[in-house]
Amino acid sequence: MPTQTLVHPLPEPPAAPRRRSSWAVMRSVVFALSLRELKTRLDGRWGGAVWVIGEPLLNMLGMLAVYSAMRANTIAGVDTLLFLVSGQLPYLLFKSLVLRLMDAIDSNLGLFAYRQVQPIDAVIARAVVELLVFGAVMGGCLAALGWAGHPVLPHRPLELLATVVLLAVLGAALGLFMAVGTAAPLNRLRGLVTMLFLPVYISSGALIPLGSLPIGLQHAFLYNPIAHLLELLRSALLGPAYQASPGVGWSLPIAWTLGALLAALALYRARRHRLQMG
Amino acid sequence: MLDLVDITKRYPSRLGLRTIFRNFSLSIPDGCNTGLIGPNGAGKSTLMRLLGGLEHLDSGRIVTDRRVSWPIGLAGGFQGSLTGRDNVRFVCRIHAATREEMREKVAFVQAFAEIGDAFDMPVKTYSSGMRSRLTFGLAMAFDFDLYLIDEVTAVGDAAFRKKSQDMLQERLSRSNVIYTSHNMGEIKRLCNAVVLLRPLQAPVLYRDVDEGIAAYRDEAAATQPSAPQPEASLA
Repeated sequence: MPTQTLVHPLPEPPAAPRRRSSWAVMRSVVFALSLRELKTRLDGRWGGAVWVIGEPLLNMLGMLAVYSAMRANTIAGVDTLLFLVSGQLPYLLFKSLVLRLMDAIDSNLGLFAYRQVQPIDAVIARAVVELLVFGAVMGGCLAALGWAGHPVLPHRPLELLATVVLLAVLGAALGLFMAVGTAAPLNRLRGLVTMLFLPVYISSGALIPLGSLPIGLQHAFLYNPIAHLLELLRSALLGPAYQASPGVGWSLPIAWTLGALLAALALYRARRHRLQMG
Repeated sequence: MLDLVDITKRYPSRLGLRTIFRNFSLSIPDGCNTGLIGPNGAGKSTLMRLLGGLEHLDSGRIVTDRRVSWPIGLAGGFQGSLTGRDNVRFVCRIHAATREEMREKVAFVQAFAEIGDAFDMPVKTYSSGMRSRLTFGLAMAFDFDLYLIDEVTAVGDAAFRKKSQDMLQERLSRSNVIYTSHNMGEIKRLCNAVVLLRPLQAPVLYRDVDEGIAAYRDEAAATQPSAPQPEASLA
């Protein structure tokens, strides 16, 4: 394309029309939406940033207070702080991925006025921001614990990475599924989804080591893929010191993750044209 | 050239599928500044949204080699919790503006909109006049071949209206517009062709604006005195 040489009275470059690939468009949209999400998450004030990091930390402190009152210095062979950081925090990542992604499309309705912006971009952008926040909190916690002399170096880093990836993908897939499944006429289902998290939380072993439970209860809890992932994550981080439940395996969480991803993408594909209407 | 080839658009609704366009074809030649006119419910906004790429066709194709803007002036386009400045930045980013271009465009919109401090306040706190100043300024910061405008120049106070009209006129020296309005004076001033849309009927392109407006007026006059007709109540 020849460059235009029109003289404008306004500071405006004669846009050289360039065709961007779909992938390039999507990248710039996800980047723009991620910045927009971060901005509203941080609220433009220091208080906002403190709260984003502080909310999960406060949650951990509350749990720590309970365990301190019970005089539990170690849980399942590892010290209480590490037990919480390796269980409660990843659980919070999963939960906030699902619940926040569920609202991602609705909170960006105004921005679908631009043809470049597709509903799934809003979901991906929010997932990116959640992961960044979680990474900051997790990194900060581990660094603080390491500085205080706790053994924080992961025993099997690749396995640790794999569990975090599975947890994130499972959470993001379920979040996308919920975002599409509870769109416009079904918004009321969102309260139900939030309520469903109570049994998931209790059976996930974020607070109680599965290995310490009666064997029948362990079997029941191990229908929960999050329980598997948290046990695997703890074993990978803490090594043989942590006494994991014997029934834990990779196949159930992997099957759940792939199944959820497939279901979410299929539902999105089927419903995508309905999502942009305000 | 903008071609709509055999398009069909339906919306699901409580009363079943509602058809807006059925096997609708329209060709707008280059150089046309087109006024879209027609009664409420004829599908003017739907057509704008289709051209803007916000809605998907049930069948048919929209073919063009021109850069088409987003629909300017329709609801939406802003994230209420972000400031005006951040919304402008957002739009720059999704259009892959460089850092330099982004700075220029933000400065341009800020200068054009003249909303003062409010530029750094959340858009949800804006009055409708401030909002439309931002809307129009943002659209004019980008170069398109075809602007889709929904009556946006008709808002704001007299001074801003004058300014935005001048701006649009200047832009029309190298771009075209598809403009929808119920104000026939505006249509006459801006457009050199009109498309008359009627519910579920084939659209008609008039290269003579006065002729098109006369056809629309005749139709309105013909349906006015009679009791509400089923087509007329479709809106």
